[in-house]
Amino acid sequence: MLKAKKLTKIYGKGELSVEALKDVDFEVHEGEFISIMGPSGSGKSTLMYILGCLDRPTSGEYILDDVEIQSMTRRELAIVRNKQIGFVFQSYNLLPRLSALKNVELGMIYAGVPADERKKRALDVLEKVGLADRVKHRPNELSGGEKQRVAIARALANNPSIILADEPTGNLDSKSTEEILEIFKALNRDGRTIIIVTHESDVADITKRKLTFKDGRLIRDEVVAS
Amino acid sequence: MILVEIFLIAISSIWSNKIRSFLTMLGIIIGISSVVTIISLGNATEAEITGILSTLGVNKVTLYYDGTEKIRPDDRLHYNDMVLIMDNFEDEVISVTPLITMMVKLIENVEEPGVVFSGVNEYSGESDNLELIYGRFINEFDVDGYKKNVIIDNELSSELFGDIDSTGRSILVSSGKITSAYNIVGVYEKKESLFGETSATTYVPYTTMDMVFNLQGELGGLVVNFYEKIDVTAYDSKIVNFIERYKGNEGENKYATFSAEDQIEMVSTALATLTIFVSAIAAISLLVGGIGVMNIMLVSVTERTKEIGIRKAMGAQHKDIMLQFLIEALMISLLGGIVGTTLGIIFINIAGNLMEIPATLSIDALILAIIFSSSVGIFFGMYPANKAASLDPIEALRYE
Ligand SMILES: Nc1ncnc2c1ncn2[C@@H]1O[C@H](COP(=O)(O)OP(=O)(O)O)[C@@H](O)[C@H]1O
Ligand SMILES: [Mg+2]
Repeated sequence: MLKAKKLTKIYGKGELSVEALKDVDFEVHEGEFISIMGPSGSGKSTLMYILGCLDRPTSGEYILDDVEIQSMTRRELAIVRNKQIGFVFQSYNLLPRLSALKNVELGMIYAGVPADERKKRALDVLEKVGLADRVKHRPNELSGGEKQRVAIARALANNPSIILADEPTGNLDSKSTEEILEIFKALNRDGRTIIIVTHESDVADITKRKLTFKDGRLIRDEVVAS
Repeated sequence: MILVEIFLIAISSIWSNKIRSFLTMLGIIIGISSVVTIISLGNATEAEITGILSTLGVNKVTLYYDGTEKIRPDDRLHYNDMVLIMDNFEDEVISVTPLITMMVKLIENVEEPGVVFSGVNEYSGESDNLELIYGRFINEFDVDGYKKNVIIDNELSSELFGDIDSTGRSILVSSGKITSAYNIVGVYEKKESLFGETSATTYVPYTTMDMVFNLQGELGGLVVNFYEKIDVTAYDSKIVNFIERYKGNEGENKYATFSAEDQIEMVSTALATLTIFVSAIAAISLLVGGIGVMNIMLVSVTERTKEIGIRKAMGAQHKDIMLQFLIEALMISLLGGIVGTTLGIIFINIAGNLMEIPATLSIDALILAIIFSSSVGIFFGMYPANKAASLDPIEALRYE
């Protein structure tokens, strides 16, 4: 369902340019659960932004659900982000003035989902992540783990084909990390394709496949024995 | 439907920055309230003055001496000039009435014995728009017979006789050496004057005045009354030319004319100038207000860079972000417009009371206020909104 061919990303121009990704090749099939590991600065976030259609590669091909992404217009990319991608960030990235419910509704607003259906679906996914009793709370009234669960609910709301999570447990204590990983596992059991960036090996251990990056190159692609 | 949501986002953003939003609106509030006030007061004043002037009788031209030129005996206006004008302009002119006024003294027990004697003919009542309450106006027999008949106003009548109807009574009038009795043949309704309180005016036949004061047929001026359908502005110079030719003083500028139409035009021109002047001030404050809106929207875009990044990551398109900020700018300036209009209504009422004219918010002022404030919002909101919508999603997300 997802194909990366010779993906390269160069930031900046001339002497100051940084080659964040170099000839990255891999394929992801539906229902896979993948972790991406590697030291800081190895290009993990850069890859996630490209996979999440927030950025375009400098060269190479990126195909999502049989559609070439690298040549899409700004508007088309926004639509792909809205409908096909669910993004989860390390720092939650919730809108502070909105309740958990409204935050989850965000993507559905831009998808044009009618208000009553929007609310129903938002309550649904919030229940799925175990936050049925927190829907009216604002982010500053929630713990880190709860915030990340709201963010996961938001990522799920438009029923995307893939969930991309960039160090989702990076800011969390071990108990919250545990809870979040349980949610990802459950989602994958239901058939959801998930890619998690992490540098904690116990996080990577729950996934079924590990990609390791170094200096912008994919240096190892291994199946995790479970 | 997305529009409704975007609208709600804009409202909540304005609401969460109440004080800042209000301060931003100040320039627009000042601009709009002055536009609204000036236009409404201008309309009200013009209507009021036009109303008063038209009661003076619109379709007439007053001919009198130009105060700056020396008037020789040959230049003086005479009885027979009235007949000449009548005959020469018989298709246009209904009547010509004399203008002669003298101060005389009532030998009666009144607070203000000085009154104006105004010499008239049988057409003057209509020409001056006099409303008779009792009796009759001076008629041609009074004029031809040099009758000592007089018309007084209701207030003088009440003061003299304790009764508005004083027809059949008489008053003693001193015109210097001679004192004579005049019979009251009519009482007219005193009207409010444009110039405030003036001396009571009483009307007598001009022939009688000529005899009493030994004026030898000379007039202070004359009033030419035209038929309704005639546009008098085209005739004032024709009348002057005609009289000049007759008197043999062409081009010497001995005479001047006055007509209510000229006056209305003058008032309108003066008001238009004032309106332009104040509108310029209002435009400047709207410009300043608009720049204020732009400034605060730029601050808002910077403050909410992260929010924009999040919205874009969730699939917001360029147009969604653009609309969000544009609507916010539009709402700020429209709200400013509403507050400004409300303030304007208060100003209009206060000024209307002070000026003693019936002033209300005029529709064109309201429409202008809406158009102005919304176009200021859209114009000055465009740049910040476009800036917000064009942010790179990743850079916006990284922003702290
Ligand atoms: N916007 C940018 N401009 C220039 N260099 C960048 C930018 N973003 C990332 N980089 C550089 O690209 C490399 C990869 O960064 P990143 O993808 O964030 O790595 P990781 O997420 O694995 O830590 C780093 O050297 C980083 O400094
Ligand atoms: Mg990173």
